Amino acid sequence: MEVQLLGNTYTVSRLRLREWLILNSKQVKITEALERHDTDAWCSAVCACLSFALNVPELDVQTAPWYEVVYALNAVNRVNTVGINLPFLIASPKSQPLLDYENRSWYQVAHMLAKEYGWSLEEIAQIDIKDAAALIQEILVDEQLEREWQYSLSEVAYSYDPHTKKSVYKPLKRPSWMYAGVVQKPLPKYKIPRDLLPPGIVIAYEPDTPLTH
Amino acid sequence: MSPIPPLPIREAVRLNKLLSPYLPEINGDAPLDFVGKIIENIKNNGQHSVYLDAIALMYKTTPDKIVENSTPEEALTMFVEGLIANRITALHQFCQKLGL
Repeated sequence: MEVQLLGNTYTVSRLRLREWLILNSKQVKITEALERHDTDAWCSAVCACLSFALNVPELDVQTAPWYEVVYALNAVNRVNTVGINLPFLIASPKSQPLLDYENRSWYQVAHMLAKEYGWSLEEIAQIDIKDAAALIQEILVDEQLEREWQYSLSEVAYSYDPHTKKSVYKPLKRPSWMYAGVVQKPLPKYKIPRDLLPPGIVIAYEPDTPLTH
Repeated sequence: MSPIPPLPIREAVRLNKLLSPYLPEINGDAPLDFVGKIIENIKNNGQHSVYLDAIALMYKTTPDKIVENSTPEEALTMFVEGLIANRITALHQFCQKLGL
């Protein structure tokens, strides 16, 4: 896809993993500025994002007609969508832990993929974002299942119920994205034959008192 | 007279902010009717400075210089041409969509 800025034509290309993650962090700044209704910050974030994606000086983006900038921004966003619907991408948490630093997402992803597949940083940087997203989800699922297995072997997974005098297994809580898309089936309704219904009229039922007929 | 260059993103958003309270509903009116309604809305609100501020922003000058160097007819032409060059309806729709 091609876009025009100040009379020059630029090709919008799909970025590879490392650059895509940097672009993504710049897109987040655009969204944050919009949420704060900070127009100045929004303009700066848009210019920084386009300058990075198209590899043009920021001053060119700042001086280009507004509609060229908006068109180019749309094109960059469209070309760089992940292109695969993964639950963990939809339900990613927005927390800002104390451990955060500039471009941390790249190092997190690189660490995850290098640890799992033994790839070098250069190799990881060149992966297509769609493949990277799918692989990361698989790694996260594997890690969660491993954690659940280890948890199930520990004592903390079983709590003692004094009423039943039995230990009850309490499963490890899964991250919210692992539940995304799981549709609980409604309980089926069916008629009970008359001859299978209890005889007499049930007036009340109390758990600790006998049924009244 | 050479066509004026369209505003960059930061100034365009500022122009929209300046004029948005006076922009009529976009309903396929002829461009001149549309501009006429903007001026009428500005006049009715008594915010005459907005008119000069918008021209000054679009032509990268000051309201005082416009008053000094242009007749009212010339200022009107500048206003209309500025709005056309900056695709004011598209700008307004875009800013509205984003909540800018």
